[in-house]
Amino acid sequence: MRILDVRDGNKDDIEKGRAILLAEIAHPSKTVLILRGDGPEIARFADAAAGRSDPFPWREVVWVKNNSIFKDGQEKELFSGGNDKSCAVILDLDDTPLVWLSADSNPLQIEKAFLKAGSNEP
Amino acid sequence: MKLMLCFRPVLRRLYTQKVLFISFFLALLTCPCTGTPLLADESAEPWTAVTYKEWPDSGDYVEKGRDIKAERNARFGIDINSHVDIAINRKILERELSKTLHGGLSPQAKMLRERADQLKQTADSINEVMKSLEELFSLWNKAEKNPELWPVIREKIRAFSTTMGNILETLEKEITERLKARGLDEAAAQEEKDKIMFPVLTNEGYSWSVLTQLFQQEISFLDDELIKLLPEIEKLDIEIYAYLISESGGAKVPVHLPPYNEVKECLPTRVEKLTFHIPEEQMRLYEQHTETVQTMTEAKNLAEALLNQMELNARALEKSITDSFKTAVNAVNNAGDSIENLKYWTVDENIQTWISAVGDDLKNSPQGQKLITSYRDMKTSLIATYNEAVIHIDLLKSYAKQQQVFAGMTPESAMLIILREMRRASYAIKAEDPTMLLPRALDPATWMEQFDTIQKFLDVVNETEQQAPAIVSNIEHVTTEGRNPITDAKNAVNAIRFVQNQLTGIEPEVRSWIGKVLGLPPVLAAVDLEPPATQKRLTITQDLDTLFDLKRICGERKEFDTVRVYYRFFKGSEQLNAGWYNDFQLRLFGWQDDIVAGISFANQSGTSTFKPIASLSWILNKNRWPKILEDGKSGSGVGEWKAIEWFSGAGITTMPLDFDQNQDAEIGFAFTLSFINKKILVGYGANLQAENDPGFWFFSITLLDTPGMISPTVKRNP
Repeated sequence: MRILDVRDGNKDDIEKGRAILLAEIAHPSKTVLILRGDGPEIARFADAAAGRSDPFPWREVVWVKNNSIFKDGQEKELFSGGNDKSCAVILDLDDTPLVWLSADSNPLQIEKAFLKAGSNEP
Repeated sequence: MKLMLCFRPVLRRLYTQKVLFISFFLALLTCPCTGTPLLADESAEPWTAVTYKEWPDSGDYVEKGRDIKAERNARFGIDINSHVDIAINRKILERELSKTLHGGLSPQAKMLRERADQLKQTADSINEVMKSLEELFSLWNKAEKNPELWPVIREKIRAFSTTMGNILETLEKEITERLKARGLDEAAAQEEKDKIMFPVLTNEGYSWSVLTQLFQQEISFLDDELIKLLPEIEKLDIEIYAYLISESGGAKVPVHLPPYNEVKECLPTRVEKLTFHIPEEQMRLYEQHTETVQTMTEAKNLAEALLNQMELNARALEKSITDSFKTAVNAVNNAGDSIENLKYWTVDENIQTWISAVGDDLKNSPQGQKLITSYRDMKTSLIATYNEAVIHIDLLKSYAKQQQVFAGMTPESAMLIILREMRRASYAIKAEDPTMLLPRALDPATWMEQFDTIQKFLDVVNETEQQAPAIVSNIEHVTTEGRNPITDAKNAVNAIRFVQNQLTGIEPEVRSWIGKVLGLPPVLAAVDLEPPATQKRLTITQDLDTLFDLKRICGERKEFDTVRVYYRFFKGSEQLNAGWYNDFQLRLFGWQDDIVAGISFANQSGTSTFKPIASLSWILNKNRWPKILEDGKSGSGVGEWKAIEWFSGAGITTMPLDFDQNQDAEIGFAFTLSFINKKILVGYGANLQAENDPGFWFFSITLLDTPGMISPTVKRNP
């Protein structure tokens, strides 16, 4: 799991964070789960998501703790398909946002979401 | 050793061709000609309820046993000193048998059965997904250095995710359905389902064992529900019986299968694998060879020595083929012509012309319409399988052709022709692996299917004949280009039946002999043996497990004998169409020895001539125990006879020599290597009495190893 945060509005952190996020999304053969926000519930979700991602090298979890890491409009672009409760989105192999998850999702739901994203045809 | 290196390519080619010949005969002897198999309902698979566990008395599986999955009419190899437990899962058996019951299932039962089938099918894909995951990991590791692999990996990820998603979704759905049927509301059922499924997910990915177990559990729940809806299932009876059948198919000894019968058991006997003993049969053969070599002269060179050996084998082969199959060959020719006539009726234009010619007779009556539909069914099936059928017939014909070509030929030429024909047949069907493709092309099931298709058409003709005799009578006389499809179909069926009769009439001893000549496994006469006198039927609600102990069968058992276990099911006095059999070929696994009598050609060091000499070889060999498959069980064919064992042991050969004219009796001892199922022996040794140049080497090609098969009168060298 990659955890991206920004120290006191540090621009360097933001740039590095953006680069990492971009690189993970751009990987040719990965389904990427992007988690946004912070707090105990999100942390629990992050644990569960990492549990379903770590055994498989083609799955990646990127936890964006600070939304300033998203480029302008990027967050909206990623999460517009979900709803207010959506804290995570999984991108398919073609980098298209496909499944949105809420913070109360359990490991089985996360697993199924990864499988759905993995099986999606272009 | 130099000799072997020099000859290996030649021998390999010869043997490959021999295997083709073997396959051809195998197919010939097992084709529709040899009895009626017990055909099961297409969707019912009652054998999936049966698991065997072999318990040998020594070797790799002595402590844990060896699991074998039952399959319909499959063959397995088991050790000659084993006993076999037969475990029958009643629930699976009941579910599968329910498919064979007539009268239809209630909609509810039908739905349950479909769910169970779907679940079973999905559970079967677990192995597949495990393999694809393994492959994916391996590819991923390589892709870091080979970016061109990424597109492949993406496809693999998609395939894996789709299958795995389907597995989880099917299981989830089933568990939820079950929980809801027990009264839980949607939310509670979901929650409970998640709890049940969580253990499938682990830090390493998935727990395959938990996943498999959950599937089995759900299938079992469904089976329970289904059985409740099928009270008539409990009235079904099962009959299991078995025979030990000798290699030649001649001797059949009933086997004790408690509690299904009360066949007598005898005191345990063990077949010793290391005997250090010359069997009577080999001793007789040795004596016969001793006489034979008296009539042979020295070969002037290696080529001539080889030719002499080939001649010995080919002469016996020719005679047996001619004597045994003469009548069958004529029948095969007729059948081939009849089948070829049917090809004409696979062409749309021809049938349209004929239908137009018969005109109103067919079009204006329901019976006539039915006849046309049935004909079209036959046509579709014929087109689909016609090419394969032609190959089948061509193979049979190529055999017939050899019969004519043999006349007036030398045996060695005849054998070369046989090999050439077989090679040509293999090219004709573009076989990548002819040893595999030939039997498949001649698969009795394919043949029977085609036979059935034609027969179905004729059944409709017969039915029409009864209901509307005038139609058939009229249309039987209408021909297109002198042909009539009904007449052609009738001729084809009759011709095939005639072939069956002719081939069935061949003596089992002859089949066995051909097997021996060609190094074949035994071909069982595919007749359905009736149950022994003390046979009982059990209702399928009882404990159905049983076992058989090879060591306690009251009859001599030898390697390559077979225990055939029959399964039959009854509803009252009516036999269900769900029976099958399994063959257990008796094998010697582990270390063993064998005495082989042969005619060898020996070459003394420093000379160029080859003396024919009767020899006795003691060969020590280790036959590996069968492997257990990845799913932990052994499937069909595992452990049974293998076509070729290139290296089949090492040992010592003794032979009387006559190299030194000053010595009355000379004995040669040679260290020996054996190849191709002990059919080829090569060795180097010493003449114990020779004062000078004691070294000699020898080789022996022995396709025939049955006394009386080699005529003592062989062609003398000029």
